[in-house]
Amino acid sequence: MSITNGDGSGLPVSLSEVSKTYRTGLGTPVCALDDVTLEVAAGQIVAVSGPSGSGKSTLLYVVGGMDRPDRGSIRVGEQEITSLGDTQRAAYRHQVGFVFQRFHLLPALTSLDNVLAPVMPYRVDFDKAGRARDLQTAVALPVNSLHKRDPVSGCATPPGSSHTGQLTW
Amino acid sequence: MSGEVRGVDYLSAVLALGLGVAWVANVLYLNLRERGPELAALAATGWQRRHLNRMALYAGAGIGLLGSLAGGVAGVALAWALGGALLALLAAALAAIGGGVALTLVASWAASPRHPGRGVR
Repeated sequence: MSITNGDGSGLPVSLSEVSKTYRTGLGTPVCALDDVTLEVAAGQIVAVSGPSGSGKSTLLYVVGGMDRPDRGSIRVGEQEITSLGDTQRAAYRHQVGFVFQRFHLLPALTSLDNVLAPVMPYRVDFDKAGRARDLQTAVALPVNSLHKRDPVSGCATPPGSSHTGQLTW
Repeated sequence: MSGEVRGVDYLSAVLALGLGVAWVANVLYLNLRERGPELAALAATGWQRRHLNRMALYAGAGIGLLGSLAGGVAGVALAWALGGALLALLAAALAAIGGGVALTLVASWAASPRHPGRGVR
């Protein structure tokens, strides 16, 4: 996990007594985060390790604004994440780069549209398709906007692989 | 055979309309629920609920509008041929379209993910 600004400078992350409990389908409570306090200095890269089910993903999801903790405080830079409303949290997520455990590609979209998806509903001051093609080229993905199924979707994440996340503003 | 429209006919039309609209909304809701992980992935990248709702609305309204128009035209033509009151039938057709679009919004709102982290695990 690392937090960087668009200019490469870092943002500090501060978690204070963050807790999160899930309920299983049977209603059994599962404590994923229990009073987690963590300080990540600006520009610092932190790796979180632990056995499956120890709360690594939950930690990243609450810092990434994709889930709300039951209690506690999370600050990224000057922003208090836990007090944001739904719309503000979506705007926050829009500024965050997140590497998921699985690809979560949208099968109905082309590979190019999958790259474009995060900015589709937004008005931006750059050429969306051109930028998406540049990004695909940068990571050596075939730019073929006509193919809905491409080699990317054929890859699989090995079971038990580590979860890496990077937040970029 | 009398061409007069009775109160019970209006009641039947309203009930049929209500069932049709509820059925469309239910199908759309289930369709959106099935696509929950995809919607969650979009929400995780910053799509707001209004963006997801708009997407669902376009899809639902398009399908609902086509179906409502086809059914409405056929229903009005049939009723007209049988001597029904045109104004009331047109109102029923418009209500079908409006109700379908409104319930599409409700269904998409209910199905859109509030916590995308749970959908992308």
